[in-house]
Amino acid sequence: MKLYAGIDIGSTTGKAALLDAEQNLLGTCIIPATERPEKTARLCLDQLLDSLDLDMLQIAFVTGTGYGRVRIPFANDNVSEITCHATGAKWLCPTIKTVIDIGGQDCKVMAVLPNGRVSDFAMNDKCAAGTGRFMDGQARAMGVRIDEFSDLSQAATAPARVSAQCSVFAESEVIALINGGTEVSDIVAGIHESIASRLVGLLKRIESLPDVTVTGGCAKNKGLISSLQDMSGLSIVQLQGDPQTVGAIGAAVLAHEQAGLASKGTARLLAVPSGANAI
Amino acid sequence: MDELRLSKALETLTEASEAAASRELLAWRAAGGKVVGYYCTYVPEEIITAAGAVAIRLRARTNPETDTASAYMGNMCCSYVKHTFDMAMKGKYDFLDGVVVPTCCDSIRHMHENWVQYIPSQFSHQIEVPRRNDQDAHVAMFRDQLVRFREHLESALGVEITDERLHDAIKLHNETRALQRRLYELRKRENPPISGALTLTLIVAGTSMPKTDYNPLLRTVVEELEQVQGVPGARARLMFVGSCLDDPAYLDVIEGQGGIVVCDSQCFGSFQLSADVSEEGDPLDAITKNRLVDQAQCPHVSPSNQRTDYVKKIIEDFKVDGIVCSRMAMCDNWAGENFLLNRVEKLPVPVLNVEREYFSAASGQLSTRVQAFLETIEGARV
Repeated sequence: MKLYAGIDIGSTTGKAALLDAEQNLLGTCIIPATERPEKTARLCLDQLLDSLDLDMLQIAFVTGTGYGRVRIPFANDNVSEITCHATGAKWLCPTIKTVIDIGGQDCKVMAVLPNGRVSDFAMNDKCAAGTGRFMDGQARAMGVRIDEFSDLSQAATAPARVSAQCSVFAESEVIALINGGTEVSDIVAGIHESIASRLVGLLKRIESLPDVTVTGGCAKNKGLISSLQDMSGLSIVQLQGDPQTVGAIGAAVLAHEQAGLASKGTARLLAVPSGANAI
Repeated sequence: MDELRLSKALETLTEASEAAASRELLAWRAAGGKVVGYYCTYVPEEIITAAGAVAIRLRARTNPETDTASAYMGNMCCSYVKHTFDMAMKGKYDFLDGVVVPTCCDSIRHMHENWVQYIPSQFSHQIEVPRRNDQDAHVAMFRDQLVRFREHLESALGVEITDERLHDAIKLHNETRALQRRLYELRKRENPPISGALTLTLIVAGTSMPKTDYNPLLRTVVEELEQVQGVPGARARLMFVGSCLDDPAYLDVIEGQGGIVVCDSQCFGSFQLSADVSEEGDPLDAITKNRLVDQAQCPHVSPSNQRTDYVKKIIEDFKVDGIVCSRMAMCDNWAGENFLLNRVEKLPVPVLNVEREYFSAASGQLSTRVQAFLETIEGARV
């Protein structure tokens, strides 16, 4: 069986996805990032192949994405994570027109056209505002775990205002709030609102139409999604599967396409094939 | 095509563009020649040349620090001015007899004030550049500024700047512009024989040495390149729009994703070659009209439609697929340009907005955005 692989090497985690020739999604995998992108890529793909009892030799084409994409020695091609997240989201849910990716170190919004191509995008990768890294810092300051954020925020009665633009200053602000006796649940809700308002700002830079979805690790935080819906006035469609793997899935879809085109000898083409069979 | 002839000329020009002071400039200096540094395309090099001096555009690619400048200039000052001022305060611009600093932006304006205070051994002249160019009063005011500039330069350098010398200088600089336009013409081709990065190197080289050395070298390059067939396969034809870019490495990062930069709207690029100075009539009238009316205008000068018209013309003439709009952080003049291009004007091509500093460390962020931008452009061809 021929396989098509997508590898997404991000700042915090490495992700892999495998499609077969009929575009069935066979599986995905997430591992913590190691110090070297090429090592992360190899480990992640190996883990996925092992879990499915498949072999590297079956892989016909590998597309890499994420900041470590140029350091994947076995990748045949690399595509930006902007295109991969849009491709993956649309493949999982064909009605998607706007994708918000909240990653470990950057956040971005993409406008997706009917044929799956990205028509416009806006991103923040200058600082940690609106990213997983931002929440990491606050979690530490409050002595809670990131995966507790969602439940905590839902218990909030009066979300605190976290006004600092910069995540470093926001951390100081959070410590002041704790010392002032503000409930942790209210602080977490305030943090969610701060991130949501940053994302709304990004959304205003592009033409953001429904259906809207969120990808990236932070999408698993239901409290954050709820804040985002409230502040943007958009209803967020939840994708099947783990939102953190959408980039890798998109890369696998593009790998499948590039392999077909490569064998036909035609030029690079980026269009999402219709139909999706996901596990 | 003579490869050796071409590569020798390219090597000389590239070295000059990368040095703090080019070999040619130092030779001129050693022979007793005077050197005047300047910011910005509104400063008439012709007047400096007519004074028997060589005009050098202020740059600081060899000075990555700003520790000294930061003590004298605030956080809101742009990094271009900080790095160049830092260089001057550290004595690395000792080969200048003086500088000409226009009022084009607050950062530059404050630099002049600091210079006068702390580097008095080298003169600094400030030229007021109007903020609009659509009224007679603006033209008259700018001409008056050039009269004062000529007078100050005469006394600072102990020379007489006659109209005849101005005419000769105008001819020399027009020769430079004609050659640079020939260079840009090559980039209109379907497969340009030269990258945007190398073009920038060649234009920047011209700001770092006497024009009498530069013109023959550039002529050699242009004559050889005219015979070269470009390599096909560029993913897209891009245009650079933004705050003064004197760093070819930045364009290398952009072009590294597979697109080619075929033209620009920026002051270390096409602004310089966009219009000749008339060789008829009063030279100061001619120079005034060139800088304030005919030349491609910086966003310092309103109204804005002249700039967007310029961009649209280039899109058409150079068959541009997409624009990379890159503003230097803290740059007030260019702060509204991406809004203008994205929202106000309905341009036929998409625009990528990025921000940078004079020294740009994070090339990964730029290359990701450019790659995504190229994918967007290619996707639109589906």
